[in-house]
Amino acid sequence: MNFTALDWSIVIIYLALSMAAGLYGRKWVSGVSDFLVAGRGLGVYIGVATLAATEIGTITFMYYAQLGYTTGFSSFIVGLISGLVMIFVGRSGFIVKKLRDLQLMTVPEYFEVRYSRRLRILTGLLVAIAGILNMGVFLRIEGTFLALITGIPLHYLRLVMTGVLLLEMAYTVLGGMVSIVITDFIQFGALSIATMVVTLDSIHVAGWEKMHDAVAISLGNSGFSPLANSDYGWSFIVFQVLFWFAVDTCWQTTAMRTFSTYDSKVSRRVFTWTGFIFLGRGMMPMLWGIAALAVIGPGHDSLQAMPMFLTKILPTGLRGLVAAGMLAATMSVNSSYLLGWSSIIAQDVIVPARRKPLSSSAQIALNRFCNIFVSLFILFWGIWYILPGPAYFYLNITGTISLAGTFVGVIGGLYWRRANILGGYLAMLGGIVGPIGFFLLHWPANYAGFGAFALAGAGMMLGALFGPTGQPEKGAAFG
Amino acid sequence: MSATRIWWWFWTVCFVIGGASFSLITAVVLFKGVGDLRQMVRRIRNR
Repeated sequence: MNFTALDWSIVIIYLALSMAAGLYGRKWVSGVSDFLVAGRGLGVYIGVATLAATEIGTITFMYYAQLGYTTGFSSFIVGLISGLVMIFVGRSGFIVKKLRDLQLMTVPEYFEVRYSRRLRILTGLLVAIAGILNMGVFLRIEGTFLALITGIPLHYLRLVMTGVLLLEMAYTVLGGMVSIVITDFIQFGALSIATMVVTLDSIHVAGWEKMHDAVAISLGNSGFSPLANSDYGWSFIVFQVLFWFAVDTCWQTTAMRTFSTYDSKVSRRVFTWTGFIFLGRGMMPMLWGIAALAVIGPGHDSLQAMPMFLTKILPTGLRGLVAAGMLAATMSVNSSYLLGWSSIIAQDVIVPARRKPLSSSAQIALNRFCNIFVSLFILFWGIWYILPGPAYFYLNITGTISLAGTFVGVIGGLYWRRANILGGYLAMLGGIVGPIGFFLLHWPANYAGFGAFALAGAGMMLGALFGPTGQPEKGAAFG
Repeated sequence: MSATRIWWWFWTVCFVIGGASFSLITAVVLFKGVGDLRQMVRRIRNR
């Protein structure tokens, strides 16, 4: 066991505080808009905290560190693109301004506003499938990290995963977005401190020049130049730019922050500020992977290398603090993702498919039920499914199942008068070809991803050429 | 200077900017976010 009584005390105190704050938030939930978008009351600073906390998890640290361990400094290209794209989205208001002004609660809801109710249901289904498959590996990877850092034997992994899930479910099911925002704020503080501590310690222990030498010896030029690395290259860079635009604007968990802010001006500031955080969010854990390469050497399991490295360098007390921070990161992501995907199933598949509308309290109950369903699925998927390669590529491609089509459908709907219902359908269906190629035909991730966006775009244009130019079902939502 | 070395210096600069941004903005957000939280609760309560 790597943990001492001091480490466990730090973790338990943190968990108790976090849970208490989360459960306290349920008293503010009086309607479905409170449950899903915190009553649209988020200001800039809390918006940044909750957006950053939602998209920075132990899963993030694990897959980025894996990239750093296997591809060296070349992996920084991913962190750079993610930050710069988000800053651009914030500064320009591209998509986020118009979506916020429409007062939506989910991304597929836009498809009913602009196209048709049936397309909303198809989009909702694909978004839910993408999100749940994407999230399906979170618990396993997070559980692996927690087990390694605490010293709990890996065969207790399922127990660790179940325990973490139950804690997250407690305040997510009861308090929805209000509870999530409150706990995200606390968790953002804890995970940020842990991130900075680990980064400084990694540089101190591994040494900047030593990291350069380790990458040069193990990987050569491909460890520094993303253009020379066979995992990256120009096609990957183009795919990543498109992917991050799609994630920042149309990924439900990110979009929920757009919808939850006080107004579109606040949304844009949230994205700009968070974009700068994203620069560090990517590169810092990648550096931990590079430091692991320098200190423990190559040849280890690439996903486990970073936690193994941390157990070696972190002293007692600091280990507990870092574990608490990582637990914070885990819970903030998982709670938001649970809410995100369950709200899609409830609001964008079940509710629109019913003939009779549901009351606000019935919708909340339905959202809670879907939350439990999603939780159980990811528990079983995480136990059963084996990753086909680096976690980052699996996550990119599962997300792309819906992101390619959704992104094209939203851009077409907001900025192109000729975008029509047929184009929307073809975009959504074209977007799933790439992921099918990745999982069933073993296409490389960059070609599968890039291909998904290209086919989605082609589908939208074909629809505009051959389909009727109908009016949106709910009035003028264009422009 | 080799291409590899140029890339390394480029990533070093990017990392310093990224790390500094992360740290600075985190500090500001945590300090000012408490007020935002209070305001959010007030908005929900006063509806």
